[in-house]
Amino acid sequence: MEYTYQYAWIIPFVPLPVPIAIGLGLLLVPTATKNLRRAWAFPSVFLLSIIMIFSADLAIRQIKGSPIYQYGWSWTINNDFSLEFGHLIDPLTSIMSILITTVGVMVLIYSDNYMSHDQGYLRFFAYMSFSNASMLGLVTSSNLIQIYLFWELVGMCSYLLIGFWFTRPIAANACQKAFVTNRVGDFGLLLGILGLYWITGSFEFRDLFEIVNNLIDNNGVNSLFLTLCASLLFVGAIAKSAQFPLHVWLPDAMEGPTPISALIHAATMVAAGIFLVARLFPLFTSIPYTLNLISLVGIITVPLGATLALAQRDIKRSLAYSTMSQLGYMMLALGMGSYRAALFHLIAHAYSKALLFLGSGSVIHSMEPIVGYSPDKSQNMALMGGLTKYIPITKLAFLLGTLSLCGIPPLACFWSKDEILNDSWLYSPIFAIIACFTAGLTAFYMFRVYLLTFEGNLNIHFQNYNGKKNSSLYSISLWGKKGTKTIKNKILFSKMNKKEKASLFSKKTYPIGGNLRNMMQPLITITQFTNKQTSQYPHESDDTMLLSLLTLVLLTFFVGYTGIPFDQFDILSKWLTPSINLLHTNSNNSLDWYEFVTNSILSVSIAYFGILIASLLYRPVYSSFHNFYLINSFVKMGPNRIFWDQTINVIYNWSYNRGYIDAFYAITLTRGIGGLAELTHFVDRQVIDGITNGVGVTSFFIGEWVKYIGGGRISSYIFLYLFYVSMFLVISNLLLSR
Amino acid sequence: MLEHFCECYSDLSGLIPCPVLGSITPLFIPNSRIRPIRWIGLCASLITFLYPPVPRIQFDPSTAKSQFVESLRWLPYENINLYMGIDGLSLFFVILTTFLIPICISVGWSGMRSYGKEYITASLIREFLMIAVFRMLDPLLFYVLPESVLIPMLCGAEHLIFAGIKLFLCRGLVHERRQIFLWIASFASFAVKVPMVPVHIWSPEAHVEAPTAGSVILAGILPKLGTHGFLRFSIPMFPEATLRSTPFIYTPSAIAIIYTPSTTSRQIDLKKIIAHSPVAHMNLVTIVRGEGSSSSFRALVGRPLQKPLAEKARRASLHSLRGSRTAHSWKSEGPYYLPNPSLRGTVVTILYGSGGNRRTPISGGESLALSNIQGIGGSIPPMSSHGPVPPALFLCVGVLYDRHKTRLARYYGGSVSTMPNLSTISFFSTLANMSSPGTSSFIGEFLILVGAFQRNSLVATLAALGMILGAAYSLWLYNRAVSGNFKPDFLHKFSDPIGREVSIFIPFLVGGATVR
Repeated sequence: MEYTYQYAWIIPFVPLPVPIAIGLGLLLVPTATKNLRRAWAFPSVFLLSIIMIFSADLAIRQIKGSPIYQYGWSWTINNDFSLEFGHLIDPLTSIMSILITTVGVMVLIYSDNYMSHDQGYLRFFAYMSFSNASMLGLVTSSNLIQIYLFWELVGMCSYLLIGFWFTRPIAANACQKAFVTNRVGDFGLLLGILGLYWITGSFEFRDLFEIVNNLIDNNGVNSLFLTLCASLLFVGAIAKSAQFPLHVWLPDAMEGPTPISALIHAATMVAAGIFLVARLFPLFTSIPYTLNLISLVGIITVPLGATLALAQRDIKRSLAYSTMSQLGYMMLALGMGSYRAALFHLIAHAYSKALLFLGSGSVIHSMEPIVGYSPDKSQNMALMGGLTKYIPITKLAFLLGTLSLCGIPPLACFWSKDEILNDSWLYSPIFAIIACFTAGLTAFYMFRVYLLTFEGNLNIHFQNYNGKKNSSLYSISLWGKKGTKTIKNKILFSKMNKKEKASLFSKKTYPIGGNLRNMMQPLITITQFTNKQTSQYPHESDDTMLLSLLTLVLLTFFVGYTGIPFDQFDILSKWLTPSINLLHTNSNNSLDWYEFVTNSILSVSIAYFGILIASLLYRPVYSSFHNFYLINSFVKMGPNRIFWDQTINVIYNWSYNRGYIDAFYAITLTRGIGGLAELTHFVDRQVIDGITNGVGVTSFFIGEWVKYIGGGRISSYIFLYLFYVSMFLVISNLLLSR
Repeated sequence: MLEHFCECYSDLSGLIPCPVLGSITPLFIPNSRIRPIRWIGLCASLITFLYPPVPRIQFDPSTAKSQFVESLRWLPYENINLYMGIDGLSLFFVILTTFLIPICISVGWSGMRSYGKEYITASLIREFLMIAVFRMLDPLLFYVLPESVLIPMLCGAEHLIFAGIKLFLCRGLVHERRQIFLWIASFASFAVKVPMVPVHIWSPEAHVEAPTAGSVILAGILPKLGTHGFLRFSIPMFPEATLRSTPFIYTPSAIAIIYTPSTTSRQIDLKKIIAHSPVAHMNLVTIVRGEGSSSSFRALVGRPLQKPLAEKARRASLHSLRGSRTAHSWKSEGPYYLPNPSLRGTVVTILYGSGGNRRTPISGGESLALSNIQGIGGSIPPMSSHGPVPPALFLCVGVLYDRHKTRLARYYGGSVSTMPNLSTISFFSTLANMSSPGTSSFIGEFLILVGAFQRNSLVATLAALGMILGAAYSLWLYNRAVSGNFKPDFLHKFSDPIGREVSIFIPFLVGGATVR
């Protein structure tokens, strides 16, 4: 039994042979390696499933109550300073490693098919395995140095994977944005680590917590400085988990292939921030201000992400903002001190969101042959609709994921989100109201996505109307960051001005004039299409993709049951007992039925309300006529209507333009740095060069001047001689006479 | 004969004659026969490169004294002798020099048609001079040699150090205030070489004008002359002055770390952009020199200082230092070296990683008193990692330039679709340039920041800020050159580096991994 723990250090190293072999193969024997192709997928899946079994074993041991295990090697740099490398197995590690491996295996199986026609198939698997390895390294690391090391590696993998299709300038810019934004977080993390090392003299978690607690008890440390360091550590988590000020990279990260978005930008890597805060939770609990900061950032991010998700056209971007909002829930939970709820939501959300992303990948895959391979078209929800007919299994999976994220009872996210909402009522009513409101918003935007994609009928005729603009954007912004930025801005603003007609939101005005047309359209188009080509319909994805989708559906169904807050079921609490004991909180007293039911009724009814509004606004009219009348009655509500319209427009603009935050950053930061560059360039060119050149020029002029003095004219020599002598006489006379 | 050769090989006396012979021999071969000249040059440099394993094996890391000492009485009445030796500091630089020269020769392999003999001779003479500089323990010759190494541009400020050394030689023991003056003089000369910010302007210009091989040397070794000189002479000769004037070191270094990356975003020349990276890196190293000086100062005293008592202890140590200095003059101990064996041990262990023994965790109170020794230890790995990194980047640009004959960034784009190998290599070099974990620069930079943070948090914060900017400009450069749309209008040749060029890069990748 000890052996399992002792050899747990192998966890991050097991997936490594695949990327190494692929890399070497591509460098040395490219053609042979490429010919093997799909043979490479097998070892990566195989190795990762070995880890999955291994970490399941570890998890079972942890549930049975075996102790936290830590093992380290020290690497002495000199007598006074040494680094320890090791691994730490505790409940948090086992939860995270199970999460990473299960989602990872599913995504790898899925992407075998998804990427099968891509040129960079091998590269993809190498990157994926490498990112899995570094993520596993992150969760098993036992000190801050290792955390930082793997943190950066994970960031690098994310950079590589976002920029996977690097020939697209948008993707190239997106990966750069992601990396630099994350680097800002790393900056904070690094400074926090250094500061804590200064305070405590240790990088190792348990020593760190003990020393900090001792210091706080003895008043041995400046509390302001300690708070600052802890907050800086949290900055790292903000960037990685896409929390409020540094969230801008996440939606752009959707430029990567969809399996990446499922694995890295929904389930694992973005959870690293949550993981870091959870890992350092004993530290943060002893510093209340930092906890307040965490919950504040969480509560800002929750509604922000939700509102930004409202009007996105791109199916993946909308899911990305949803991820951001859900991560905000976890941060909020951590800030409130409910460790268990945060981790529970982390697990539940990871499975649901991975399911949703894989589902959207399936949708994109089915749309691509019809509308074209540009993400502006194939991911555009305006062009989708009515996919239920064509891809029923994907639809089922997507619907279940949506329901889970909305918080509908038997599914995973219901249990976890409910717990967070309950805890937030105990923490602060204002926060709780915001959180509950956002739960409604979540239901609204998730159903918006679902309805736009799967209900109604296929809207590929919008292609000209919508796609042209996008394609022009695409072709203009061939080169240059600055150029793209301005063009993007221009188009955004122009769209903003005339968007009332173009907006998806205005589907609500559609029925007034367009009811008849909408009813007619399917008949016409369908006949036309059947006449032309039968292959013009979306196709259901292949079996391997569906396999991983369905497995994730099962996981989404059942993972919620691990954490039901009643005594006999509550595996999660048993699992987390050591950590919770470490925190000295006795928050795991189980609720009674009555309290639980009243709380959950509230949250479920909010979710249903959101779903109802979404279906009122986005449900296609021809399928349900009574809704049409209802909307008409809404629309004709009279004087309120203008106000209502304006509000909606404001929300729409806010959401469509990403809350103006990206534009703000572009203006302030990019231009600021540009200005700084101008300034330094000016200093270089004018001032420093000016001084050196000035010395040269001055000496030149002096020489010129001196040249005339020594011109060889006797008269001038005599003149100067007499002049100096007389000056000397005058001065000496003056001095002597004194 | 063979025995004599082996003997010659095992002490380091062959390290200097070897390149000298290599540079003389081609003179007797007519310039038309380029092949033997090339091969002689390459072989001479490779044989020289094989020397460093010898001291690596025979080197005794436990002592602080210079090893493999050779001395030659030269001007005995002025007490000027030819002292040469090697210690933990200079060993690395010698390795780096001998590592880079064969690469330079092979870079110019096909390019040297008409000036082949001159090229080989110049490279080998340069190698000889640099090895001599790094091994030189006598201040006078240390002044003379860099003068002769290259670049008349740098020479101006060195007269100051000459004045300083002269004064030092005359007086023997120098008063504290005068020490500061001398320190400034020597600092000025080393600052130009590093280069620190007000006098950095020569570096990008020189890089743009130099050929690829020249840039490799310029970026790889020349900045180290400055730091090496600082560590070897300024700190031991003027310890008090160095301690006093740490703000003088910190301020320009911190400015440079912010300043140079932001300048790069205004540049359009690939080489100029890369040329700024050594500036930022070396200024990170100078930060450590600032703090390393104070830690070496502590090491002189030989006991860790309690933080609250620091001021008092500093005064006390000043006295004790003076006492010890007067008691036995340095000269009597032979060549100049870092005064404390433990410190030297530090430096050496860093290089050769004597790891393994477990350490008891430090308690909180004790750690506050932890003397800041990781700083100066940390200053060696960045210098060492900095050796291979910018040269690798310059070589990447050199490959691009060979193909397309332009260095303007706007003409490049999408190289990855035609040159996957080059893109991979330059990706690794870029990663190393922004010192992300797994590359050689990471540990060094991390140690620097750990040390600097405890000494001066503000400076460390600024240095870490430079980290963001560094990442930004390196990635921006990489993205501009490598990803994005391919531009067939501007780029006509699509050949990926193969054979010779890849084999030039391999030692860099391997070296980058092993150097730490």
